[in-house]
Formats: sequence, structure tokens, C-alpha cells
Amino acid sequence: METVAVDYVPRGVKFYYIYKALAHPENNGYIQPFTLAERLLHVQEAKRTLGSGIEWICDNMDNGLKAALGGAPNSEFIIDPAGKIIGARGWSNATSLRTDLESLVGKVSPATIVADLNMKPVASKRPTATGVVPRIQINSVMRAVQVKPLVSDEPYYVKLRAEVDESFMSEGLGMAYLGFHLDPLLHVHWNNLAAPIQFRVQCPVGITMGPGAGRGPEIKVEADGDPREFLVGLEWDAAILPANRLADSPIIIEVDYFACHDDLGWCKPIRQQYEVRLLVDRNAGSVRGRGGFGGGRRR
Amino acid sequence: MALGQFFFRWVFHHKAKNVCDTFDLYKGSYTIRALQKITISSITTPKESSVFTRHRSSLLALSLFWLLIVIDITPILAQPGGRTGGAQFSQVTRLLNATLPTVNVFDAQGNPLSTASLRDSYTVLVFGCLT
Repeated sequence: METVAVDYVPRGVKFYYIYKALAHPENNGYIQPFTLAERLLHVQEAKRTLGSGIEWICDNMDNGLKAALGGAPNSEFIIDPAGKIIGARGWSNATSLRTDLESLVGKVSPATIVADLNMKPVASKRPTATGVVPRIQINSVMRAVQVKPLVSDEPYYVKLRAEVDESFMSEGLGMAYLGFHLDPLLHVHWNNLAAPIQFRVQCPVGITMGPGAGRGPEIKVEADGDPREFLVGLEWDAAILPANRLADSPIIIEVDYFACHDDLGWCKPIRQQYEVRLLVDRNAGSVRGRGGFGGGRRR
Repeated sequence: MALGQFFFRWVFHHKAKNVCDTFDLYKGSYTIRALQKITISSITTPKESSVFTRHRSSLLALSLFWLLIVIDITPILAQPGGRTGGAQFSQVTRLLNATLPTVNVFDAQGNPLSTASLRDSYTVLVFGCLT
């Protein structure tokens, strides 16, 4: 893509990457941002790690542009000067794009090749130890559900990802995954010298989650960046809580944790709350490594 | 798949009353199980010697249905993409010739930006993320 941009920007063609919701959260530790400011941190990280000269546009937090343009993870469009979509591709393809632009504005010869570029991609940095806490293994297709962080005085250094298994999806009785993931772009780590993470659950009538509280493991390593994950039972009685009221009946999860920021030199206790709605989150992405299907994870 | 489904539904609705006395239908369901039941019951539980004659048109329609399924699933691409196989994202390719929707987004510094401003030149937009 960069080679095409180098050749056709001088011909008046504009190029933009559109930064959208993560397609595969947890790859390289990156997790879904909660706010526009956090998504803009992702954009800066993308610029840093890719070394690209192409400008970025950031989608809004309603994922409006992604939805308006088909919702695919790596789609590509050519827009004419009148604003009409004259090229639309489900997967970006630099070779095909170059062919399209040749027919529109002319051929560039010789074409720039990757070796001509001076791009210096940089690996993502994870200064804190990972691989300390074993990850949960799940033997089911999982679907991400909607999680909304409630107002907090502190950034959400730890972000909750909630998923439900196929048994719950089909029968209303199954397991829920609660994963508390450190946001690597906020540069904090767990303080394992203090009390481990704890959470408590409040369910609306008609939904039961058990256990209703949990506590993270005691870790001997002083600091780490691994997620703290829990599998809990989940039951939904549709006779008590009809499906059309799920959107108005969130599960409240309150979490306490200690976080440390080495650069700023602080460690502090943080308490934050989430609303979890048992509705599919179509912008949550799918977690790889354990397989994945439609916004969830699979072993 | 749309044409195949049309024929399946045509068989389901138009022939159902002829075969109801040989098996139970899954009402309102177009699952493969229902299709198999039609096929199996028609052949193995004859109430009359002329069951094949009676259900001949159903079997003919079903054969045509399966033929259409085979034809219908042949992938058709609006434009060749960078990957082979996998999802073709027809919801993307069907946007061809549409006007770029007006959506409020942001530049990399967080300044508001409207897609309506992406005019007056050819513009390439590529979706992506860190993962």
C-alpha cells in the first residue's frame, strides 16, 4: 500500500487508513479502547509500529464509518472527486489498487517497490513480564457481549472483556468469561505486592451469575502484565426477564485492583464499575490463539 | 442461496399437505432436517403403491433445489481481493457506485472531520487496526 501511495500522492490521489475497532483483540496484548482518546493512542501506536507515511482517520466510538462501509476488517475503497464509490474491495489489495489507479490517473513507471521505501516498522513494546499467569482454556465457541465502563475518576487501566459460551447462547444456561486485561498503551502493571484483583457482581432479577465474586491469584512475581481471567456460571430465566428487556437490565460488575505506573512513579488502589448486557457486541472482535468465531474465542 | 431457498419454500408450502399424512412437518422451519424427512418419508413409508407417482413432482422440485444449491454457491467476486477463499464481504462490494456516506470521524490528532470533506480528488480509504 505504501508503494502505491508514494507513486500516486504526487498525482493528486489522497490516501487514508481508517482506524477502527480491533478485529482481534489481545494480539500483541492490544485490547479494545473504551474512549476516543484511547483509540487515538492506538492510532499513534499504529503510526509508530508500522512506520507508514499514510495519514490516519479515526472512526468514532460508535464505529459509524465501519458500519456505513460494510463492516469488514480490511476493506478498501476508491472515491472519485464527486464522492462516489468507484472501487470497493472486501480485502485491501495493493496490486489491484495500483491497476485501478492506473486506469484513473495513469501509469507510474517504474513503480516504487517495497525495497525503495525507508519504512522502519517497530515491534510493539511490553516492558512488563507476561506469561506469568496461565491463561484460561475454553472448550467452546464464545461470543463477546456488551460491556460499558461507568464513569470513573481514573482511566480504565484494566479493561473488562465479557463473553458467553454456546451453551448459554442456545439454552440460557452456561458459562461466562470475565477477563480483566491491562491496557498496554496506558503503561501500568499489576502490583503483586498488594492484594490481588477482586470483583463483585450484582445481577438483575432473572439473571444469575455464580460465583458472585472472585479474587485473582496470589502471584510471587512482583509485577506482571497478564490478564486476570475468570469463568463463572450464568443463567438467564426468560420467563422472568424477557429478551426485549435485556438491554435495560445490565449486570453490574465492580472491580478493585492495584496498579502501578513505573514512569510516573505511582501505585494506587482503583475501584471501577461496568455494566454488562447480555447482548452480542458486534464490534468486539474475535480473540485469536484459541480460535475464534464471530466475536468470541474457541479452543 | 436465495433461489435455492425459494424452491425449497415452494416445495414446503405447496407439497406439504400432500405429504403431511406420511410424516410430521417442522412448522415454519426450513432446516435440513425437514428436507431429509420429506425425502425419507416419501420413499420408505408408502401409504399407497403410487407414492412415488404422488410425490414425483416433489422429488423433481427437490432435485432442482439441490442443483440450484450447487450452482448458487459458486463464488462470484465483485472485484478480486488480496486473499483467496474466506469471506468475500458482499456488504462491501455492493457499495459500488453509491455515494460515500457522510459520517463524523476524527483525524489522528482528534480533530473532528466529516467524510463529506473527502472530495475534489480521487481518495483511497483502507480500514485497519493494530491487530
